[in-house]
Amino acid sequence: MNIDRRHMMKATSAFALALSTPWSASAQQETPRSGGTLTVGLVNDNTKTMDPRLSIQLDERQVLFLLYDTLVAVDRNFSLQPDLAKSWKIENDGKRYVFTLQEGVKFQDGTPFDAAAVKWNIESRLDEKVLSSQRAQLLPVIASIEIVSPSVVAFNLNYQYPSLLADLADRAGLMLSPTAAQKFGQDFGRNPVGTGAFVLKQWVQGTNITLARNPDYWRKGEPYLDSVVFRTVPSAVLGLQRVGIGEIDVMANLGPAETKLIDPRTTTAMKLPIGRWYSLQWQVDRAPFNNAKLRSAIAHAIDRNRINQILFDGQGTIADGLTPQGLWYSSPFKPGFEYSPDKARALLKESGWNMSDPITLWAPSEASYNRISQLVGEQIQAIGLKVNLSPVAQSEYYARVVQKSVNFTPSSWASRADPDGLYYFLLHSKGTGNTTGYSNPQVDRLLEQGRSITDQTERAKLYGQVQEIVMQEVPYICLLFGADYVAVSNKVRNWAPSPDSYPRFRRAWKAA
Amino acid sequence: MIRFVLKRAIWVAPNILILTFLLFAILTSWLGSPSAMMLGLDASPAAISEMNRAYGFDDPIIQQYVRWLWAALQGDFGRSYATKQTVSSMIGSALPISIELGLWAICLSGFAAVGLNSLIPRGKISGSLISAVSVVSITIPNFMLGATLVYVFAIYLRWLPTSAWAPWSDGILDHLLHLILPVATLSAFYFGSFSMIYRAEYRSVMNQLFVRVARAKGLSATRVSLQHILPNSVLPVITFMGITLGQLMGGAVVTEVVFSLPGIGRTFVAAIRGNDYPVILAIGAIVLTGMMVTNLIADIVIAWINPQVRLSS
Repeated sequence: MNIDRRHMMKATSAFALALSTPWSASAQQETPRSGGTLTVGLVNDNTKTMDPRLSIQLDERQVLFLLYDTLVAVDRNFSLQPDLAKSWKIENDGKRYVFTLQEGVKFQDGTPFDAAAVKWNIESRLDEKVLSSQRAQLLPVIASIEIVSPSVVAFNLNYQYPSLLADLADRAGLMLSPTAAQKFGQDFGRNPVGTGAFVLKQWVQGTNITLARNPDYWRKGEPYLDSVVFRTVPSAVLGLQRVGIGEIDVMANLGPAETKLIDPRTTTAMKLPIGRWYSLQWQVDRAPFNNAKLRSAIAHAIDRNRINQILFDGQGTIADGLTPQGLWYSSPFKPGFEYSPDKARALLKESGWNMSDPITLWAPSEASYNRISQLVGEQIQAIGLKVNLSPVAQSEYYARVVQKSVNFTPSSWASRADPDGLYYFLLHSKGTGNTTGYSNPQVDRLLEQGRSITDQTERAKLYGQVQEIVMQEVPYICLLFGADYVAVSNKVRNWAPSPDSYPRFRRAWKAA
Repeated sequence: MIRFVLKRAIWVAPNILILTFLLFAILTSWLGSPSAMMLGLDASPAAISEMNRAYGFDDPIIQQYVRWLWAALQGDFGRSYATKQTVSSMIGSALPISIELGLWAICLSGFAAVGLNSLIPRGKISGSLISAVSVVSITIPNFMLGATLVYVFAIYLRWLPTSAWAPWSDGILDHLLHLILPVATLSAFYFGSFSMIYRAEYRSVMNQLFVRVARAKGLSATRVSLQHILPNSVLPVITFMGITLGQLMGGAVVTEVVFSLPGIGRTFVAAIRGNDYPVILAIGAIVLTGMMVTNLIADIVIAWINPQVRLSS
């Protein structure tokens, strides 16, 4: 009976998904309609500032990418596209990036966007007094910013850093008006001025953020919408009810379970092109997990399909690597650790592990981490290991991973537009996010080589090799890529979620 | 009467000073340095001591308190670390919303509790109904009641807006329409508690000699209830209303969250979650002061109603 109901629910959500295809096809035939208001639901709005230099919260980015444009933009398959930068050249062995800017672009306060503005934007983020959230990321990389001409600006780097373009497609590339920033000082976060398609009209913290069409937007004819309103909702379920009655048009950050509440007559569930990468990590440079056989044994004991079924209703994707399939830099997954308790038991015997010693598995308090810990604990108990589940508050969890006081734990990362972003960060022995103590000279060499060349196919091969080594040495047990959904009213046309999950509504329009 | 008011008022000031000092001390030194709280767990000791110096957290606590108090008396509570706005502007926009919501809810539930319990004869089915409603409204969690009301009146019937705050400038009708559901949610809870307190007192006054005399004189039941029992049993309700209003200076957190109202409760919770110490301190001080002042007002009202209180002091 239970199974029947589950099947039926799956069928309904599959139906909702199927609907997304016909309308995007028909959208191309319809002519865009100008005007109207698009309303976006934000669950427990955490927005604090609209100054991109200071922004930390994910919720803020939902708004920032409408108020501001970035130098570089990302596509649906994470390839980089021009935005405020019309084109770019990479010189000096990858240590100099020369950007040619769009001409005639003005900030919303009428001041011109030019090479001097770009220079000011980057230098302001590097300024110690500004306390920018992007300073740590840019400071070691940027040697100088050089104005070549009013419409050409060059970034000189301290070392080869292919992630620069991807960084400039994210927060670090959002360009704000230097004049306005100096005029408003500390209050700039409330009085944002960018070059974006929308301007901030009203912000009542905790209730709504109202944006209006920028009439002087530099891309002529865009945006189609008159305004975009972000409305705070207390929970995803209550937000979806409001989507049902037409009060809200877009609700993001939904799990597969929540998409079952969607009424396909009014609303479509769209899956994000790329889900978060979930994994288990441990410290491989010290006991007990410096024992490679023990690591392999545990990896074989984990039934990733079951985790996928329970966490994501089977709609996640099993990961046999760090980055999902279908990106320019992904190589095909080689079959990874198949689920085999027998193999796990045999490896465990070979490892010489004393079965009466308990293994501590940390359980961070966030719901998906916590469930992964419980399921993994159950599964490795089944091969005869003793497991202690040790709770840790989500707010302390990552700090303690960095301090190495949390050892064996679930973790998750979002994919980046450049492979260097995640691979070097996590796996290079000097990577700033290397919390596993993993150090393999061959991997280091491959990652450094990946930084030194620009040819995409060559680079993809290098990261493919790293992925294979990682799957053998198991500094991380790759679990799966999650499934995230956005509920979109059927009236919304010409819009689909992008892989970085930031909405860009400048080409979206609403049917009458 | 004036003597009574002055005597009470004189005691309020030192109490506020002592309590705000305790609050200040707890937040700035007893629970660890605010720099460590704000910079997070992985802050380096150097960064913490630099921030301590910059913000004067190294000074003796009394000196810090006096500096804070002096600025606060002039309306300057510093700037929020999270939003970079001045704390006074954040409170200035959030507090009126919470106070309006609180006043509506308290007045409505107070009048309803006292009125219904005095006018409806007990023992009848209607009387039992009121007891039942009181118990139910006090036990149903606010978030559930709020979500249910939204579902019935906004989603299903579509009579009212689901949420959000409409300022007076949007028009009186719009403003009031947006208030109906949050006020109803909040009132339900207070109606329950006011009603229970009032009934208990009412029952003990009901059989006293002067009431029996009034009945014996042949006065109507309504008149006995309203003129003789009510004034003598309403006092605890007023005290409780005073305390409640003071508490509501800290906002009605659950109601504000369910209905997305930009009130002070939501601001307070966000500040606590983000370790935003200037905001926590300012709202804490305002709640303390608000409690003291509303308590004072309640005392004055009681003295005005009950001569025994003002004469005995």
